[in-house]
Amino acid sequence: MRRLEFVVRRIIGAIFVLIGVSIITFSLARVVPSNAAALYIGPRARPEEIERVKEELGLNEPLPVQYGVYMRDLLQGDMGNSVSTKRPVTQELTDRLPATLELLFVGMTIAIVFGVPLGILSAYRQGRGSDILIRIVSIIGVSVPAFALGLLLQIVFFRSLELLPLSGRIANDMRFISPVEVITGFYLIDTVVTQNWIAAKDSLLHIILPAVTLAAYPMALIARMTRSSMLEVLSQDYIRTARAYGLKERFIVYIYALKNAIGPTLTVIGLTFAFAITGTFFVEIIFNWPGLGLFTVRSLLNLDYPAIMGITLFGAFMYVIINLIVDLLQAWVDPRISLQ
Amino acid sequence: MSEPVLRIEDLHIEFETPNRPLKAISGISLEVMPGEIFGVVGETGCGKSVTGLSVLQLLPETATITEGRITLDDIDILSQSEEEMRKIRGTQVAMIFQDPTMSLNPVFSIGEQLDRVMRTKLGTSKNDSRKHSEALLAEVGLADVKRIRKSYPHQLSGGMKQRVMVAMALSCRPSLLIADEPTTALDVTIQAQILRLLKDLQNQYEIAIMFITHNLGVVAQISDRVAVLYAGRVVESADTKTLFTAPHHPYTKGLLEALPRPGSKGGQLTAIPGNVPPNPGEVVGCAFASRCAFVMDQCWHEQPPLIEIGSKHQSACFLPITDEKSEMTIDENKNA
Amino acid sequence: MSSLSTVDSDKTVAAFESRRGTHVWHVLSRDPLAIISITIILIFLLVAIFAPVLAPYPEQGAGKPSPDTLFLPPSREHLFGTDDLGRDVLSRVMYGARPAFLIPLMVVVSAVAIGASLGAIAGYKGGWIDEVIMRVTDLFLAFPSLLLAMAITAALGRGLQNAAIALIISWWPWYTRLVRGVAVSLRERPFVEAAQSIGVRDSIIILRHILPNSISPILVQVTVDMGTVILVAGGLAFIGLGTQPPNADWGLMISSGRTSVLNQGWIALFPALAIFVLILAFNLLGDVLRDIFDPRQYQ
Repeated sequence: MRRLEFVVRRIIGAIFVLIGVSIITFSLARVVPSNAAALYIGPRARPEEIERVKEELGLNEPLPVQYGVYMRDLLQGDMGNSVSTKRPVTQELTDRLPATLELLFVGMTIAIVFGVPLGILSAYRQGRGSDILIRIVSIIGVSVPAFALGLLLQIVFFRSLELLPLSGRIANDMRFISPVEVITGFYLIDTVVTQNWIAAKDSLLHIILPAVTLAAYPMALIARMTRSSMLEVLSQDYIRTARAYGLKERFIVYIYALKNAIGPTLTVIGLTFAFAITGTFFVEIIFNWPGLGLFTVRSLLNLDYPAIMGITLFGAFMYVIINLIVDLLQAWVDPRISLQ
Repeated sequence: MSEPVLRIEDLHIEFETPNRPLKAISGISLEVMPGEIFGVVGETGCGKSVTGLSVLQLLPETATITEGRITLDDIDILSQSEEEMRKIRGTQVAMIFQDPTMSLNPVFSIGEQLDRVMRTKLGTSKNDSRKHSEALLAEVGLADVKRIRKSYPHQLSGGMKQRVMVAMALSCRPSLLIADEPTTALDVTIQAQILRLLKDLQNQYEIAIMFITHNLGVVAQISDRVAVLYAGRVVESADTKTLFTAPHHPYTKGLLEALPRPGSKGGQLTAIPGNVPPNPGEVVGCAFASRCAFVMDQCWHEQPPLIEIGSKHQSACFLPITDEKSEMTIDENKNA
Repeated sequence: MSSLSTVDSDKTVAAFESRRGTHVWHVLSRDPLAIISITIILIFLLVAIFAPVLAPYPEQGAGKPSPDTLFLPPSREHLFGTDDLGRDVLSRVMYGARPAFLIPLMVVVSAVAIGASLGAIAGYKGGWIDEVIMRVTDLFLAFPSLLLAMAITAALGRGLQNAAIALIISWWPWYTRLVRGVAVSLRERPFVEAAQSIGVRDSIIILRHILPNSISPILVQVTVDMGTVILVAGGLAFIGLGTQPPNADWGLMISSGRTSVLNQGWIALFPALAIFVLILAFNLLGDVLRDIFDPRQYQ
């Protein structure tokens, strides 16, 4: 019962945060810029156009009314039209979302699947060779910018070893050889579902380098956090109790201790998701990955304001949702949290 | 004469410190007989907890056993591999710790934790473990066992948690239970309940208990025999009655005089002056010399050996052995 | 009587602080990692300050093209080679150290100033002030910080200064949270209660007690954040929102070297190495300081 109450409270909290987020983006879109209307139709706008847009956006109304209109449009999924493509921003985002999400999920999966066990191993073997090695790798991981790492991986795996493709999501000639039948927009899923093995293999090869580049920073951060919380837990009395009752060492470390240590790790996973959302932008530029990032950067450079605001809102929305999920997971793992 | 459950012979333990090794235990020998409660008494840092942990081979990484033998149920503990030790823990020897709140895993329910021990140690099925643990929880005096099983440690009181720990300790019927200050973290009334519970269960199951405490009063209530530890050595050992009525070692006497007695209202409590030397293992003579009221020249440069001074009564002091009966009369006169 | 006791507690707190100060220095001077990282940071800082003197081709470092020396590989004349405009990459890397220090310093100093004062007030005052400040803080923390910085830079216009402002806006909440944690833990301490009981003004208590005790956790956070802000500011420049050409900036250099990375790798490689080594140095130092102070106790 208490858990249900906790879940409801957290969801209501997240809704309030989202309202706050909309106020901030609203201010950025309408209040901060000296001439919001001009931003909305791009740098080469004629004065009469600006007047028309001012009227359209209701920029002559008082701010609360403007916010009301802004929210009404937003709830209907209307974030205006992109200046450069003239298409609705919502459309532009949803078209590109699968590519970005695919990269994000593969990257974060790599980060979690490697980061957590490495952190555990490092803590368990504190001070020994493997611990020192993992710590060196993880501090390098948090110090190397994605755009530098991506270039390095391209030089090594494309030019020197000739193992992996340079960039893109799938080979250009694939549409002649064995075209991907788009169902979900996730190539890895679509190709497998349609048993298009040639394209599946090709898209898998294409995603390796960008996903690894994206994963490096989160993985290092997750490993570091897992290590330090595991170290704390392993020194607790209840671990000694478990040993005193002859439980299996593997069980003690991977289940008994980890369930206690996973809380801070979950927080960091949530945080790194945020980094990864923006991290994909850089990775997509370097690997020419046709997702949101490439679109974002183009919008930023073209001062495509409606697009920029749409992306900001979307990013914040995703972040709030991820943090909500992390909160709920934590409450599920640790019975003490929902009682606070 | 039956064989002892636990025999510790000439145990020496050293701790690594940044500067030089620290001797925590300098030659402790003791025996715990089947079905008895054996009290181990001493101040904080005298090595009593370390002795307990050494039986399970759960000493911290910085500690090494440099000398000695530990025999548990005819098993030579110190020559066992880690995997063999793991099998011994829980089934042949179980341990209860000082703070029940810290001893239970906060994110698993009581039932999950109890079941896990039984399933690992006894290989019982999920269902059997559940039934067994319900029975055990009832046996240690907990009501509404189904609810207790579903509870998490933070939802139970300290006394209830310690009862759960006792249930866990009994779950695999070990021949020896090491209880390390099991009542220290609890309220006085709860303390008494837990002591009674241990005593009852010990009678019923005929488990030997090594009861480690700093509290002589507790020892008087519960144990059959007592060893007094000081600075990593046994300074006196006897059956409880003898120790309380005819203590020989000045340290034991000091501890007894420091006890509040119900009969002597308003009487003054005496404290033993001074402190335990920082690295007692390196002291040449008797480690208690600097605090002892009866110190003699000999004490400063010679370690008094632990010798038999009466029937099953040993003491490590150069003081002459007085007749136990006369000692008792003096003591009684003093009280009167 | 009571005033006497506050003076005493003041002294002990001060003594404790200074003793901790010397202790930190003592530990740092014995830790090889700390010495290495501090040395690296100092070298980069000196290079940044004296770039015009140290750079072999100061004019090219500042941005002047040299059409006769396009895409030269590393040689004795150009240790790091030359770029697509013929400029000496070593000189550019040296000049690039300037924004690499300037932006993070501006960002971290301002973020600490804003965040620490708000956090101290929120934590010390409690009540509705705390509630309001922390809800606003949480709102800013609800954005991925780089994304927020991007949106703000877009609203303000590109360039080094606006990038810095954008980063300040997205960074201060972290310090608010940190210092609030310290302030809450100190609020009930005897020396603070003693000061309150004899009517010392709140502002004085915050300045004398709350902020000095926040210094060590802030110091750790600042060290780590220097590295992070270098990374993020480099990212903004890489996208084209930060430092504008022809000024030198590592992120910008990597971005322009990217197109020729497979054939003229040195153009992107050396600035990438520079940014990596400097961030690594700050992260290492942050780790060492964290081990000394352990600011987690306040979170």
